[in-house]
Amino acid sequence: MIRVERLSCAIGPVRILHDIDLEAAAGSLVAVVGANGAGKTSLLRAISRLLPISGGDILFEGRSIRAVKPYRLARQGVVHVPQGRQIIPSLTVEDNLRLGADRIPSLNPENILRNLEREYARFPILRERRETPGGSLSGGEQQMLAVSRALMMEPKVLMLDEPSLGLAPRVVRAILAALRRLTSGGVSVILVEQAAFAALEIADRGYVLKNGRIVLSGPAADLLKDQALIQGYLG
Amino acid sequence: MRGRLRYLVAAALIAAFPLLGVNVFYLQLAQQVAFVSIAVLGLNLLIGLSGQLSLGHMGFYAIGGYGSAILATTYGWPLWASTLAGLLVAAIIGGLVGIVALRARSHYLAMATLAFGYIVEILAQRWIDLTGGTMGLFGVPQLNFGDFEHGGIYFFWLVAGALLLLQIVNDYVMQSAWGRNLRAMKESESFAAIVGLNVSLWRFGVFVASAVLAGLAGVFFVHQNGYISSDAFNLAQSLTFLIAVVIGGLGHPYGAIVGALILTVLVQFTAVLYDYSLVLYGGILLLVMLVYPGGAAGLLSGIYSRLRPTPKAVRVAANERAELDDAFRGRPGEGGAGESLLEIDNVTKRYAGVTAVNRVTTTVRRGTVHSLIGPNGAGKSSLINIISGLYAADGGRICFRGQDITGLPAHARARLGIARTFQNLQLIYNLSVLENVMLGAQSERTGFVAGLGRWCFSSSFEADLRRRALALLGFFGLAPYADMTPGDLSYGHRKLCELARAVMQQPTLMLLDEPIAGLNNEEAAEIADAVRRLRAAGITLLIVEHNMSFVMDVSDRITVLDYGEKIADGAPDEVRNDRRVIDAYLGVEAVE
Amino acid sequence: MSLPDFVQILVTGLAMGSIYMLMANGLFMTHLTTGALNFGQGDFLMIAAFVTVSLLTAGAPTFVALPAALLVLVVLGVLLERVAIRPLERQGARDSGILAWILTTAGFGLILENVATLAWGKSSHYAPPLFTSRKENVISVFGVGFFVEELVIAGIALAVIAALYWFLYRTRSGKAIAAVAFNRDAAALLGIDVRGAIVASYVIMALLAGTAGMLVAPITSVQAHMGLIYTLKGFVVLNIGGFTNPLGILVAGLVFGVAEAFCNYFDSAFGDLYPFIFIIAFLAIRPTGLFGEAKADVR
Repeated sequence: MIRVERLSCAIGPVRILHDIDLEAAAGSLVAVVGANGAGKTSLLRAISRLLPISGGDILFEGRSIRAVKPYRLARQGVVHVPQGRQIIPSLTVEDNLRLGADRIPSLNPENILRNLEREYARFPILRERRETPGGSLSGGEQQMLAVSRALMMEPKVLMLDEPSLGLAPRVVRAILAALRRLTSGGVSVILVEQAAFAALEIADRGYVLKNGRIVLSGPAADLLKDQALIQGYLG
Repeated sequence: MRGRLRYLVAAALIAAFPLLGVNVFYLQLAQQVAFVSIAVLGLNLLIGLSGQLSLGHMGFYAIGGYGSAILATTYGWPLWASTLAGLLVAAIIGGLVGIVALRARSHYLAMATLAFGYIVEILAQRWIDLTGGTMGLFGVPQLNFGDFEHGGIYFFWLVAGALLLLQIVNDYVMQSAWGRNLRAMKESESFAAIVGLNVSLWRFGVFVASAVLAGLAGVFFVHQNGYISSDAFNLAQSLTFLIAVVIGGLGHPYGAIVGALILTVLVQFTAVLYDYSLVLYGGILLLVMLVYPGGAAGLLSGIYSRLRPTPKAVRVAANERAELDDAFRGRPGEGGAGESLLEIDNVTKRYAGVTAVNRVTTTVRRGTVHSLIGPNGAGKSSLINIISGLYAADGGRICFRGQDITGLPAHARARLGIARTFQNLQLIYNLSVLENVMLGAQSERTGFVAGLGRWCFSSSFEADLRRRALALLGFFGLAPYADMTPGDLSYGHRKLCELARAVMQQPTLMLLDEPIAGLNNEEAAEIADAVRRLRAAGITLLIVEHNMSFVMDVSDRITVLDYGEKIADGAPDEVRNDRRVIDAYLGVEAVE
Repeated sequence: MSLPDFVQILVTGLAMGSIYMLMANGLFMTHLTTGALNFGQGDFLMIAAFVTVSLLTAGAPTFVALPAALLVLVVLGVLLERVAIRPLERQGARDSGILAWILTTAGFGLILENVATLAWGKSSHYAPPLFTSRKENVISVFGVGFFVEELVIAGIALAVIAALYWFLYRTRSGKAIAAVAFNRDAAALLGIDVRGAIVASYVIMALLAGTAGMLVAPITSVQAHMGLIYTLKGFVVLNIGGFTNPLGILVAGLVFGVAEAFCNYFDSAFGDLYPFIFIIAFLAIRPTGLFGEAKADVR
């Protein structure tokens, strides 16, 4: 559903991404792994249109999205959960959850209410804290909130940047399982992770990034066969 | 004395100007340009170099002026005494407001200075017994040296001469470590702190100096015409100074004079178009800020540098090897290799509900490379920030060379011999690559006056410093980029530049925060090589990284953090095979 | 001081404090989304005052004059964002930094002042009272008399701020603005039209300044250069109240206004200076204002 073709990005004279080819078909989970500074975050930001493109193209449902503004892309169903949680500290947990969903034209109040209940069931701690300001949550709770907030928007493509950061393993498992289930509903998931092997274990396809280039790609199962090779690319 | 010729030319012009039979009106205008330049010069240093915003500088102008005028007129003091007293009062009040400037930043400072200017305006207007209010003070003695006929000429020489001297000092500041340090502080206070600069003291000093300069301008103003009224000292006047500094070119050495000149011409011009003067002012402000924020001097400089030939290629000095060894030498300290240099004792740091660092304890030994590793979010950078003094720990102690430094501010720790680099790079993009490296050499700054003398009369001003910095750049392969700004460099080169700056500090302990993040294999190997050379030179290194192979390669000892806690601590081989480390690094257990 | 005097001063203080508080909230709105303060906001107030005065003296009814003034101000707000703020973002962080928008908004304000002198001349104008038939309309409560006009001003200002607070914290658009204020990229990723939210915040600023202008017109003399002092006091109130919450600003404004009124009573020559002197000293001790948050000790 998302196809990236020979994508290049530069900030001023510095090239960040070189000739990236990537595909995340509907209903598949794609893992993007690599060392710090390899360009994983930049890739997601380019797709969600926060970063200008200097070469190549990005296609969503077959149409180029080079000229689409980030907020419009989000409303069309491409949701990017950025690194660092980005919970609005002055708004309550429930306000944060509704923030994105409120802006999706195809969601009516009943949908939103139903989604809310679903997320509260997934992460009961959020229901407990529904009226507290987002800023007073712990790091792990904020991360759960960020993921739920994105899921509330019923995305067609969901991109997550290191969602496991700061989370206990049990919670990470819950999130990864949820992502896996999403794909069976036809959603494309692009997962950027530092915990490379955990990500590849649940992915259909994997891409390894280094210095802004794809150095390795293929079915996740194949990539997992040669862990030493991957380890080399990670550092 | 190359380049100093311009001051002699200027002095000659100043001497000649009034003798050309110039009309009195233009002479007075020239006097005005001169003392307004002095006020704007101070403002240029304050806002352009040190980044402190004063919106009420007219207040110091008024205080200096009224101080001298009142003492001379109402109390009959001789002019030399009253002018000095006026400056003294401006300095004292400048000091008081300057203390507020230390505590308040940006908006708050703008507001405090605005309020200050307003207070002075109201006092001038309403304290009629003292100032004469809007009706004014008459019979203010003029600075004409007792000669009424030629007094205007003498006055002009006095004011323009003072301006010339101040401009020379200004140029010295901008071309020396003083200016570099101020520009660095303006862009990044954290950076300034970790190279050893006491930011508060510097900011305060510049604020008081700028207040005194405004006061001096005020003194000249009141003694120009023998009459002053409070109408001249209002909030709009502060705005006028600001307009002059921006139109002239903020931060540019000649911005003040150019700005004062343009302003004076503008005022004369708009006097004709009186009904549209504000539209003109406002329009020019908008235009300059939107289209050419570098101001007129910036524009002229740009044109000038395009016309000049490109600067000569940078050559590294012949005795490069000697310089390099010199640069790589760590600061001598007592104690032999192997003994404990840095002790981290139960350090804890919490914020926003997260415990980033949880009772971490470890020892770094002199002459070793000690690495701190762990997955993202493990608390490594927080710990480095605590050690270097940018964060305050919530618990625990840090000892360096046997001294408890837990309560010391960052700049004091830098002075003790701790240097660091940043994960996100803290380079000063307003300075050249060479100047960035030179910023590392804080411990060898010469006194202000001594430096001024050398700058004026010697051709080897800062030559030694430059040579050493250049040699360091050469070692890191950055010599060709010495005169570029860090913004022009690739990411890898920027990291090397920062490393060079840290080495320039001749530290005892170097803290490197993710030195090879984002670098390719060759660049990473260069860094590893540099690390080994630094250790050979006697410098101790504490490196934060999460690239395992790099760390295994260079380290003598490794401490592993996960979720803020220490989970392993020992030689590379021990750590490599530690079960907890492997788990933490390669991710969670498989998903069901 | 007698009780009637006390009450009168209190009411006057509340009225003027309300004006300052409206200005401070206007500054707050633009600071929220763009980090910039409109240094020409006093001139926005002035234009609203003039439009109100002209229409009322020309015979237009209140319910025509007031919306007309607000409409003019909405246009000015949109224009300011477009001309004086947005172009600066493209420049990125330059040497001028904070100074840039101070000067562009001040420049815009100067142009407004000139427009005012061209349109309405340089002398002072006086507005008829908005809400009472005669300016000196005094009502008596428990034997204490005060101007109704001033009380109504305070009441309206309070209502406006209550509406602002409700808007920011209870409506979708208000929450979107909070998101934009926190982080523009994160807001855009949630489908929020960031540019729209920014323009909206400038329109709100203009409405607040406009309301202040039309409320203050009947109780002061309206002339082209009246604005700067209101900008200054609005700025002061914003600093006292802290940059975080309209209600904190409300409290700060009323306290400032009342303090100023009492200081003026006791010292008519220099009374209005005392609040300023106090502010400067206060900032040295507590740099982030009464209700502001101290920044964490991080890099």
